[in-house]
Amino acid sequence: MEFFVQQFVNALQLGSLYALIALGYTMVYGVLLLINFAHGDIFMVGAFLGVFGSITLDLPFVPTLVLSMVLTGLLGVGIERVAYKPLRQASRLSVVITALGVGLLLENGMLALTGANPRSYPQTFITTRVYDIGGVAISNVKIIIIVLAALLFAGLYTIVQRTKWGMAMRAISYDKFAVPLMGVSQDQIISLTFLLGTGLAAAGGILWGVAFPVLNPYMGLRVGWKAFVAAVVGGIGDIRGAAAGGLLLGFIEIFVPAYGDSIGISSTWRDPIAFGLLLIILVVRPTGLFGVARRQKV
Amino acid sequence: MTLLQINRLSHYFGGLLAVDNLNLTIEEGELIGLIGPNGAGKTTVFNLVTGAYRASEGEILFRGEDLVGKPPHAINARGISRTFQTIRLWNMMSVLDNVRIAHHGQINYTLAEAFLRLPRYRREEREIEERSMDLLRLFKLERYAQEPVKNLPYGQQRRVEIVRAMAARPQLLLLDEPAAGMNPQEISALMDFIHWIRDEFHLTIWLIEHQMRLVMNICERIKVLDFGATIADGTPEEIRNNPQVIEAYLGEQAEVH
Amino acid sequence: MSTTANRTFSLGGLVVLVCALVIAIAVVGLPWLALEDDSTVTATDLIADTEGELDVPARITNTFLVVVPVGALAAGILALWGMLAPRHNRAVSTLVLLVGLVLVGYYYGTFFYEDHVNDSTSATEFVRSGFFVALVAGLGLIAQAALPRANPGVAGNPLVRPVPVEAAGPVALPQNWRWPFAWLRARLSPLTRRIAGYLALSRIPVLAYLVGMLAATELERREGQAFSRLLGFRRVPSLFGSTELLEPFSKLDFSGILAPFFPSPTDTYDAPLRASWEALRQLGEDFVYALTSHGAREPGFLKVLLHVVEYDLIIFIIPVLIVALLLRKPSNALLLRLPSWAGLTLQIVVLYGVVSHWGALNDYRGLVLIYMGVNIMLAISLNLVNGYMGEFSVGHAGFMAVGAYVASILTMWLFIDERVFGDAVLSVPDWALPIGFLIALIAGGVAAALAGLLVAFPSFRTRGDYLAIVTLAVNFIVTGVLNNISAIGGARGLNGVPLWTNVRWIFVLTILSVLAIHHLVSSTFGKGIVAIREDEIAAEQMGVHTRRVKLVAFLVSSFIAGMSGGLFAHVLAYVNPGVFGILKSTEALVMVYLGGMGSISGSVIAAVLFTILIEAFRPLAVLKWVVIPLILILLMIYRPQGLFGFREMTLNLKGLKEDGPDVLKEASDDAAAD
Repeated sequence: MEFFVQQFVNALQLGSLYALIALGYTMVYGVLLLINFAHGDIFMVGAFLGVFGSITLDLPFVPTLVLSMVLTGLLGVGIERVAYKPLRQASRLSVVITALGVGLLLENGMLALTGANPRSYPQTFITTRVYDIGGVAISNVKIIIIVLAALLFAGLYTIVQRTKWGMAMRAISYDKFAVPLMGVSQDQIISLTFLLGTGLAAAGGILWGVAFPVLNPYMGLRVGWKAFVAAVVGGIGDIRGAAAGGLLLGFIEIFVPAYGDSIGISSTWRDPIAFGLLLIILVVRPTGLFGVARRQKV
Repeated sequence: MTLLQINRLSHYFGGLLAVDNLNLTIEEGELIGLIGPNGAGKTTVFNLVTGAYRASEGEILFRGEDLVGKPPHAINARGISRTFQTIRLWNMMSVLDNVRIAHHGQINYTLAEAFLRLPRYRREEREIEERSMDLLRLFKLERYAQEPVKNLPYGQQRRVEIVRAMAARPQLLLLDEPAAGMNPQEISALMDFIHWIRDEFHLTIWLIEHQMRLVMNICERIKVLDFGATIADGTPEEIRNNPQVIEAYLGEQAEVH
Repeated sequence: MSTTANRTFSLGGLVVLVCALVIAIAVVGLPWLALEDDSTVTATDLIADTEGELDVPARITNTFLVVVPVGALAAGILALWGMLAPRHNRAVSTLVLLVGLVLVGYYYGTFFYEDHVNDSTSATEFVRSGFFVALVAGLGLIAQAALPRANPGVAGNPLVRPVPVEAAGPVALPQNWRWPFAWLRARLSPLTRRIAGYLALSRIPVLAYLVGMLAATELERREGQAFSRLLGFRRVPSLFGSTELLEPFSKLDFSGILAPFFPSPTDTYDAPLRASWEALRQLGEDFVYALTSHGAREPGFLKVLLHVVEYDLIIFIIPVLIVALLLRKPSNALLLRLPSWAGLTLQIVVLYGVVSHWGALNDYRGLVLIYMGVNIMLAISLNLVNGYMGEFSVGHAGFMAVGAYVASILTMWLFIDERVFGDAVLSVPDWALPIGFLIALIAGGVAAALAGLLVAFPSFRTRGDYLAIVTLAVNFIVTGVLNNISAIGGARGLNGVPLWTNVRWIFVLTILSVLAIHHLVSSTFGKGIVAIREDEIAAEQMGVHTRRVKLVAFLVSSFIAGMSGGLFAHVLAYVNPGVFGILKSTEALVMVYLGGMGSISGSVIAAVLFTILIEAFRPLAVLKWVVIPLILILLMIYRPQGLFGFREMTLNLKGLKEDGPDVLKEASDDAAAD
């Protein structure tokens, strides 16, 4: 039982991290119908900016988090303006390929400009304390990650559901031609979407760096694809789906090796299993858990 | 002889009843019209017949064989061909290729023969090309044969769509609003054209149309749908005087000021 | 407003004209200037003097070295720019001109400024460079002036803008005078049309070009060594000099620029800003040095560039053009007389001659040729799905992985003795090994095709983004599973794959793949694939058995990808799952979109270019994967259709009738239409 609770908390932690990153994928897809393949690398930039804030500027945790979210958000908006906006009238494939290119550019550019040494946050960033609750050891880091992720998700959900801006975002995903006619600036809404989505990725990046303290320019690759799987499994375009998909993936990745070892499934199988799950879900329910099929008109 | 017989055909989109208990018999050589206000379910009927949608209930008998559940290409191969409400040509391809591809059901060569370009492949390809060119000549489109179809004017694209439908050697041709976007003179020409096709190819034609002049002039029998249900059935003269039809099109008297 | 535009362009034209004059004067006047004191040096002597034996006064050389090449190169750049990018705006072409001027000015200016040219420097070394530039520039100018245009105004040459309507009429003639080129073109056009019609490079049969290439490779085999030593290369440039080109930049280190801001636990920086600035300054210094680095042992980029251009012009381009022009008529006549299959076979045989002859020079070339073949197969097979069928497969490397592993396992297990699977299971005589290899490759292809079913079946229900995700998932599943099977090495990979792939294998299989895909998409059945892209619903309603067509497309595509994987494994000798990750899939995508969707010739050319590009960027190390995505992004923004989007390159494969004037007229019309 203790083992189960322990793994449950671990899964919750990993799942909320995936969910935070998946939100960015899903928001951009919801508004632009664009799979932003650069998102995982934006997550990496966010984590690196955490190093900048905590070591170079010597800031405590919360200001570092805010700084990284703001800077990364602006980077996201900048990428959209420079690379994606000129292609808004072009075929969607061109934009997706551009996104792949931007991702490669970010990770390799980061490698070229900062060198290959692995980074980590300073010891004083978050002082780790471990609480023993009924035989289960839970560190404050895990609690902070889970609570922060939940808070950020709740904040985003409120913005999308309750505010005028959120309404405009949802409206654009239905009809991107009609919304500008209603007096809402499409560009502003898209920028806002990128700002929020990449800001959340930055938060995910810093929390990831706290939980798994090795940062390198390619860290976004794996995590990014995983979060992407989460977004698709949840039904890309739906933010509740991203959260659910992220948690689901987190649980699979933790529980498969935790209980699979006894039946001969080692932890290295979790990638194929995660992607196999994705494949099955796509075949059985092509639009994901929360996605709604759009009927093609004959 | 009965070509197409539709019995108790119903179709739902989720909870919405799009076609409600449709019954229809089409004899060989007939020219039949299907009319009704927007959203009455006319195109849905065509989609059910051609297999784009699978009917929720009922049967569609073509020469006595039930088509429900058959894939579209199989239905096409049995001799039902159609055009679309909005032009759906393969835009980047040439006019000739558009017609050639519609011969897909008549290909007998195997893939290996295509890779190796064996004699049967060559012969069939030559036959398909010759037949496509013959059709284009018949419809006076041969000078556009190599032109990408998207470069053709609207009226010619409509013609190409009909040629493409003829490539499958249909016995029943479904025309979905052939006169859409045409002016009165073009409609007159279209009426002659439809008659000519029927006589030239010995076809049965079933068409959906909003242009009453065209429907009333060329159709021998007309069926009127509203909200999926049949509200009238008969000759043009009967339809013209049917109060239910007038109501469906114009609304109730009281609402008309 | 329109007058300012006119004036700008008349200035631009004037610059070109002046530069042309400078070149002319330089060529004629060099001996005269050099002959200041009774020597008998001529221009040709100077150019031919590679040993630096001639003694030319430094003062004269200096002036010459600065004025002539700068003018010549500026003119050449401007003229070439006008040809290459006719539709770009004034600001861009001005910028190009300025950058060219600054670079060249800097390069030659340093000699002047630092008084580098002294008695010990071989003056002629620089003179020769300058004159080759002048040669290129002159060619550019001639082409610029001679290129027939249907409508010079609309074609948008930056130097020639349409005459404004109000300015037409009585003042039109003087205005024409202000544009030297418009005037020149009007005068020369009857003549140049004839010349261009006669040259009509696109009407020369491919056969003639191939024979030209054969001659060029033979020339290289005989003279390449001596000539490259003459130019200062340590060995014969392997890939047309492209690998030598970026070598000077290999020592640049960018990592210091941002590293101070993102310190790793082991580094400490007191003043990150200053450290970063220092790194940036050092980088700038290194860059300038890499660009010019005269006097040092390693030549700078500009010098290498000039030498590479010289080498390629003299060994390849000029001989190929000469032979092609000479052989135009006979090869046309020959091809017309032969049946089409015989003509095609002849061309393939000659192509094989060119490829093997060129590749025989050294092992590196052979290796690059094999990579090219693998990339061509990969690109065309992906193009079948992405370009012709309009789906978006992003996991093509997964099929390659299946093919690579299955083929390697079979050859290692069955035919050779090694450590992973032990001794060979079958004892086959040596002569039968190629058959075994072929069977293993086909088995790899079949296995990959079976993996293709994983994508083909979902494609019946999903398309677009969701299918893209399926392909991605398949890629990850394949590499993930391979990572976990310890019997075949797991993540460590499979070592000891026999090195059986050679140029002959790759040539034959690449040609077969190209033919297979070409035959597929040009058949009525295969055109159904394109119909699915254009309108899937219309396709199935018009009798296309869409499921069958999709199945065939995915199977053929993954089969060829699997074969390419098998070939790839047998040249690497060592395969591991990491090779076939998403990066490899991205490479395949880059090739397809660089070449253009729905174009086989585009994919082939893109694969060849991409392979060379990858090799050329090798010295840049990490930066390679910064430059390639940048190219991709710029391509998507400025030319989203790729080199040949949805059309094929027009090749004269079957010969054309030579009917005197008619052909010429037609050809010049063609050229004008371009």
